[in-house]
Amino acid sequence: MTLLKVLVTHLGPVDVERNLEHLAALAPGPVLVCHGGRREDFDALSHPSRVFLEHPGLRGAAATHQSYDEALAAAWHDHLATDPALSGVLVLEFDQIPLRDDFETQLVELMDRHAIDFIGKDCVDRTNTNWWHRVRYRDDPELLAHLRELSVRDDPTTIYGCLGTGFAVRRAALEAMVAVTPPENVYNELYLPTLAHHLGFRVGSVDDLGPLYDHVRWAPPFAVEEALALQRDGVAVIHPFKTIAELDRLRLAVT
Amino acid sequence: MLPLWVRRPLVRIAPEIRCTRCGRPLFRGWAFVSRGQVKVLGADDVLVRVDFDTTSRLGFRHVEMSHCIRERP
Repeated sequence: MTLLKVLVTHLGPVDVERNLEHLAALAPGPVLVCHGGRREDFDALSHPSRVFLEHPGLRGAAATHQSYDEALAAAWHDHLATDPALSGVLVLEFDQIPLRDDFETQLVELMDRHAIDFIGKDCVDRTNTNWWHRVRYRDDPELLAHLRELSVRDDPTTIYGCLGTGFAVRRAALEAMVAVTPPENVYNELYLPTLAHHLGFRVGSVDDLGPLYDHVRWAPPFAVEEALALQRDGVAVIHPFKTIAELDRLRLAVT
Repeated sequence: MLPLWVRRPLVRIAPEIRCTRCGRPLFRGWAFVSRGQVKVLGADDVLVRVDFDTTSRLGFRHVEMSHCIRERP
């Protein structure tokens, strides 16, 4: 199973190149750079597969209205639709860092073994939880109407959620998801796994299946010494890691 | 909503609510009825799932499995 890596970043060209070098060493394969930062930084990129994300939510306050619909649409229309060798996508924010060269293999194995179409960090039914985003949207008339219209499930009000980085989607699910016109301003961590579920696809959580994402968290960031120690302990991937200038230390430790 | 200077000390002395799946503490909290709804003071800062585990008792569980110590495949 070959996944197109969708690298979501807002950083300058030097740091984007550092991310790409790291991925080439530890998670080789095709990469689409999706840039949600400044236009001049995007224009300075040299990576051939890239798209500038216009959605204003990406430039707003954290954890509010971020949307990856453009990124997933670009991944499908510009790559998967014309390349049958690609089995799906793996969305990685710039600060999710593989520490071993079998990270992607382990993730794909989980998807294959458990027949999962959309997999992510803590990607679970969050309907009966106090998850802030579920509380925000529980009575949103636009979202509820949207789900009622497209859902193939018995309960069209079920809400899923996952971390907005590190999720992977099989090609059939991606094709179906990008064919849907999303409602405005529904936060991606809620919308994407919820949409996949209601379109009839199997949604699963990495954390229900093993420890692969035990060091993928919302906060606080990992320092480089901590990351090196985790790498020595065999941890495959971490998030968040913000000191991109030190990625070469993590790469040199394994290559 | 209660102001922070009231809420924090109240939560500090509250009994522990434990995960019904793994038994580990989730948070300290008080449950009471306010304006026709059940409020759970102390639940704000943790991500939890809730349902009735008997006809009159609410059980809370971890949402994030890496916090919930139990057997995984």
